[in-house]
Amino acid sequence: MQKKSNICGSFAGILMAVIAVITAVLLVRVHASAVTMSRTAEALNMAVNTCRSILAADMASTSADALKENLQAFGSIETTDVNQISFTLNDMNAKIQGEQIYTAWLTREPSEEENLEKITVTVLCEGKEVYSLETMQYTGAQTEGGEE
Amino acid sequence: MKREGVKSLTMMILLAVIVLCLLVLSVLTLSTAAADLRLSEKYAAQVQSDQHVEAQAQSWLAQLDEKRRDGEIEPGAYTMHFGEAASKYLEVTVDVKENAITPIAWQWVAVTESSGMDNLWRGTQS
Repeated sequence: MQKKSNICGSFAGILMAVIAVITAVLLVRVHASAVTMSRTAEALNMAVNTCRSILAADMASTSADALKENLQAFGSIETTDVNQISFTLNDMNAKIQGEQIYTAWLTREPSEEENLEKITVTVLCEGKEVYSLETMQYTGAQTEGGEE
Repeated sequence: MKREGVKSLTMMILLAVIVLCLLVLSVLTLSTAAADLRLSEKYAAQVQSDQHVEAQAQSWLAQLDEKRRDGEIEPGAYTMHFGEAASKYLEVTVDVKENAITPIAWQWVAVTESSGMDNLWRGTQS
């Protein structure tokens, strides 16, 4: 009788240990997924806002020097060509605090129509695109007296 | 002997409750993170759509300027609405002169539908 009870007790112990291990593994995986999702959402949010800000800074700049000066607020510029500017997003890297490095590209190319430029801002994480925003800019308008 | 069995059963129940609590909490965490991600994706799509509308307006400006140079349009103020969203549209007004074209208004206008609450108190009127 005692032997039977001991077997039952050890079986229950083993069962509890197995359940605990399975739960622990499951929880670790769920936690990892949740952290990844949260980080992705945060990075996407920041990338969208960065793209919008860069685009706004670009639209507000009246010269190449002013553009470079405005863009320096986002990070260190690595290229000298005004039509293809690449920079490291210092602010975003500091806020996300991950090991990955976020960079951005601002490219400007003439459109098929006259007085129109196509501007693209892309935020990349380790060379992989996170978000990209594309717009057109009319280059022949007089800005004096205009409101936005 | 009986006490041993009761002890073991109590432990099992306790473990089951702990496991259940942890699972519920982890599912909640995961669903919150997933909702956050969905919201971010929605926001990203919305910004892209808005920017597309802005690009259409810029393109219209360029076309209008071309028409002005060709003498196809008269000087004056021109207003145009852009966007297909039901909740808002972009209103652009430009002043066309003989030698230049100047945007004078560039704003997003929210479309509000009457909610049938027109009889709400609007404050004291002096």
